[in-house]
Amino acid sequence: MRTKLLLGMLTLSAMLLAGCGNANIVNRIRILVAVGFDRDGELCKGTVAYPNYIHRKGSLAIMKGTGNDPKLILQHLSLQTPRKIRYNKINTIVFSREIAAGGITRLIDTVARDPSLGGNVLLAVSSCSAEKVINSLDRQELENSPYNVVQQNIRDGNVPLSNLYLFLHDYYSEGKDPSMPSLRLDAERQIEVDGYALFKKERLRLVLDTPEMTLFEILLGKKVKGEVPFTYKGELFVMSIHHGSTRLSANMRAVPAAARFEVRLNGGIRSFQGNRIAKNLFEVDDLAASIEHQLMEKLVALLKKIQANGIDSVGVGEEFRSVDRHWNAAEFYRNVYPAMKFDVRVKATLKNSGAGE
Amino acid sequence: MSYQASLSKTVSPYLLWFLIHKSQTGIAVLDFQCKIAHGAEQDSWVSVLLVGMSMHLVVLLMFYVLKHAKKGDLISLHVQLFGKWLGTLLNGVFWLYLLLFVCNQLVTYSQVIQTLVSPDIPTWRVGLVFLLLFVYIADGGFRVITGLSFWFVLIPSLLIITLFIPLQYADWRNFLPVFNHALPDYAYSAERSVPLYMGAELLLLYYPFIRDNAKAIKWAHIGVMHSYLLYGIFTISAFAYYNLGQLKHSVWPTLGMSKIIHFTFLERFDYFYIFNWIFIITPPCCLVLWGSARILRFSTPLSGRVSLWVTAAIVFVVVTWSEDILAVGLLETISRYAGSILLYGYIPFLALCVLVSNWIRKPLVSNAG
Repeated sequence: MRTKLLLGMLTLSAMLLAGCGNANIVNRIRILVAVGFDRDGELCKGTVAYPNYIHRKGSLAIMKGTGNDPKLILQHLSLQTPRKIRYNKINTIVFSREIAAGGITRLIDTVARDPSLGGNVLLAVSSCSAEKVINSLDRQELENSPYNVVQQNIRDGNVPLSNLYLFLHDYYSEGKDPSMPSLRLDAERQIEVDGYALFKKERLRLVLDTPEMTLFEILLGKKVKGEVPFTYKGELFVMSIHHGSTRLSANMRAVPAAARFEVRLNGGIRSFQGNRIAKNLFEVDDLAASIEHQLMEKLVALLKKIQANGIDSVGVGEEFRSVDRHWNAAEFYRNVYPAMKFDVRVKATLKNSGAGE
Repeated sequence: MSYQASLSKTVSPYLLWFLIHKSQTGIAVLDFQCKIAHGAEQDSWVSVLLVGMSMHLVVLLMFYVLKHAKKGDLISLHVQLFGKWLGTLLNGVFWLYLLLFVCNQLVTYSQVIQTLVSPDIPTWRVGLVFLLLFVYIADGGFRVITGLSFWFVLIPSLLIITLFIPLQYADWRNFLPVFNHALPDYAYSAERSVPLYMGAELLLLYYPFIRDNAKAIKWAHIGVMHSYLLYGIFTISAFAYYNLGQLKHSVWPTLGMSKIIHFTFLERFDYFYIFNWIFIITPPCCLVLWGSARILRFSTPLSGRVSLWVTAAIVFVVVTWSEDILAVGLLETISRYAGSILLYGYIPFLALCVLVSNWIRKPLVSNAG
């Protein structure tokens, strides 16, 4: 009796569970990997890239659709294709500057709610139209996707750490504004990172160029790496930052309130001048002082530029919130932040670097 | 000395640790962070720990009450204290509470599966598959459920290691400034953390099946401590990973944390978390079904197995009916209120009744103490 009952239950469960199956054969569905959104009159135009395994041996193909909402764009895409569309593997979402400047709340809300997308998805703004960026992927290998381009640069420290999770984290934060990389096509129609886009909540407000992007990364202090140019005795040098840290602290008692950034950098100087440090050890202090002074000036200038645009992409407000028991976001950004002083202190430690003379 | 079932039906006292802990873990762990965040915000962890610590007191009261029960469980105690009719009625109310408990777990878990894994699958199908599993386990008896609880504590605990990955994004400033809320805020968060600890009251039914039960209280306390330390880890991880704005916009923050975990060979690591919850909801649901069947068996002429199937059938009907989101919310709210009243109202009331009864009359059980 017991065995019969068990067998009956197993059979019934197997039959019921069969309904959970979601049979999708990889080369018979269109798995979207990158999406670009552009304004198209009242509507939004979506351009998507997917690997075509049947006709192109996995190189990317492009589709386009329009609609008021990402889901409606997907529906439009679906109407054009004989195969199922799946978007679980989307790793890049590109917004045109026009869309980003108008606000991406609706798009972000849809993306954030979608359980199919992970937190590692790359969000980016395109200097040209998003359609052009995605179109450039046509017949390209999956390896050339914007996601891989940006990830490689994040690992090397050229681009600040950025993904959907971090964007949403800053978007919902009371004391920080979100940001994302900016992409463009170069003369050879290759995708490149051309800067870093800073938002005021959901609207694009400012795009930093690449040197500023490195400085911005130093201010964020999450993964401090990259190349910092500076001049010494009239010659150009580049400091390669191997590792570093930035400590942000709030000085509420100062009038006006001040934010202090203590930047510590460890790195070496490699340039066509050869191993200058090895030649004259006494120059190390002078070189370090020169870097510290120039970097401090550049960082203050960048902070003031961000401040002047009415945005707080570094998260100064978040630091004040964490130490002020009566912190009020509206009051802080109306009265305190616009007049805030920035006290940046840089400590550079140079190592003997370079193997040749 | 308190009542104990025959030796062949009992389990070792140390297993009470796993039984208490496992009966407390459930579907509430998936989303409690976004609910408690509305009260004491970054200080909500205090409420979670305080409610957990208060469970030590509830456990003490339950042991006190059960020590004086004729047959060592709530079913006999009700009849003993309030007479046959009122006692049976109260047993009926407790039975309804247990049904509510298991329905809430199943309906919410079905919703998770429908939202994150398979949107097309109807609730009744998920409910039926799981109910068949639960009935099969519960049919094996209390010792089978205990063995299962032991393993189902160990297996999902392995996933705690993976919290290391989301914690690389942790912003510990999210906890600052500390202790920046008023008492009503802590109270709100505490009230919202109660569902985390619901399930410990099942001890009222399986107490006679613990060997040397009067001396097993230390294992019950360890079980309770295990629960609130675990919930402490989940609370701190979620509040470090999400800021308050994000938390308030999240639906299942515990699952959300797994969405940042990504491997080249595995796109959706969150599926591990989702299906891991089968290990987490199965033991409490089996215990509840076993306990409900026991209540029916002693309050009606039905046999044990028929009682189990009747209970499961009723749960199935409720789960099938609770398809829409309003019904899910309603079930959750009723279950939370009922659990809070039971843990912090009815159990102390029972203890008071036992105390008064012992004091004004001769001891209820001649062999008690």
